[in-house]
Amino acid sequence: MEITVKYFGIIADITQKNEEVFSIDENLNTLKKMQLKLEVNYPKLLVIKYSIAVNKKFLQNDILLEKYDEIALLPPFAGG
Amino acid sequence: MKRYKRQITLPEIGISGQQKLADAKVLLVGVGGLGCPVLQNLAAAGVGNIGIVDGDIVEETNLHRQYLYSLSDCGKSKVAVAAEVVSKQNPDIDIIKYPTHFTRKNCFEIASDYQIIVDCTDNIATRYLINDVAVAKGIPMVYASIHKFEGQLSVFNYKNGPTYRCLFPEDDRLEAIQNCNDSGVLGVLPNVLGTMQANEALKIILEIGTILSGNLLLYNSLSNSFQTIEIQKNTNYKSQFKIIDSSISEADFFASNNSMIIDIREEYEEPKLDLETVKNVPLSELNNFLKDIDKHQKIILVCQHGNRSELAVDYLTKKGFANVFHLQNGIESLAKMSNDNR
Repeated sequence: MEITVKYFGIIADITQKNEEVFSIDENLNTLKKMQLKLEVNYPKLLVIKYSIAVNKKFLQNDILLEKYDEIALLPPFAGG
Repeated sequence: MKRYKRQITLPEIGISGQQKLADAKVLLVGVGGLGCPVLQNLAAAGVGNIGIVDGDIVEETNLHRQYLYSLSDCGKSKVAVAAEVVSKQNPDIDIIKYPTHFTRKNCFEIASDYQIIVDCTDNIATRYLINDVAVAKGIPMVYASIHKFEGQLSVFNYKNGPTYRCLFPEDDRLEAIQNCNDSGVLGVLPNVLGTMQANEALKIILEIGTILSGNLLLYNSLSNSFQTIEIQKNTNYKSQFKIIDSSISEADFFASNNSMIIDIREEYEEPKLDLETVKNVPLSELNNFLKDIDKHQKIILVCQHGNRSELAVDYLTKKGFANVFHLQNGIESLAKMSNDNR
């Protein structure tokens, strides 16, 4: 199933893109598993602080992902 | 009142709204890229009491985005210049000057009289501090921050709503403390975000419209995209609130014997700290380095500006280190001091 991941701030610098669409297995369908997959693709994520939103809502817990869900990885910005 | 005629004409404001603005007390922490437009907008609208906190001086590299300052102001205190310029634009209001950094030592004294804090700082450690002060006082924090062409905006702790710590809980990984990032910025972006912060502050004072509480607004100036993401309140973080001042001054730093001094900056950062007793241990290696260190050993952490070291002290304290401090304004302040003495 297709999942869209959006990147912000320093994370977009790491991934070199603002957005990416993943086709994931039905059995890899939790947010935690998706996060691990992203951390394998982009190891620098392991040392970045960020919050995760799914469908425009920040989440603290793991959830089951559904087709066409949109994930956002958002680090704090420091600048002012 | 002639000056405010065009805004009093709005039924949402009127004479009573203008009076609310005149009575309002707003604290701006930082008068840089965000703080300049916030100050200009609040002052022009007639906010009666505006406190401005900033320990920096005007530098030429500020001028492309901080329009309150002129070339001839370079070297002067930002707070002094900003107050003078804005008072000329609107002599009816009071600007209260705090030409100092907002620290764990002075935060409550400075913030004591205010009903809103506007966060216009440029570092994460001070954002946590502003958040904690706002939570302790039960007042809202109008937040914005920028990275390159992107901006974030929200109002935290508004009528008991989510706080900055609900959005970004403090990390339990030491290596996630961000390095000082001097990525570039086009002047327009902080001015857009700062103007929006002023708008939220005015709405809070006037009690009109919808406040951006419980939502984070994201703006990308390259793609013209605006989007909001919902933030949930996390009550765990509120109860952990505690401000411990673990900073030491430059003088105490030089007077301290028997301390282990650790420079937690990365190898490439300048100027080097030219002291024999200093150990260089970047944040990513600090955990490993401290494995065999006695938890009662007196440790002083130093970094460039004192922001990373402050967060690292919090981390080590949580890990059980009982005697750990940090140099309050970092190595840059030591370097400045020794230049001044020459």
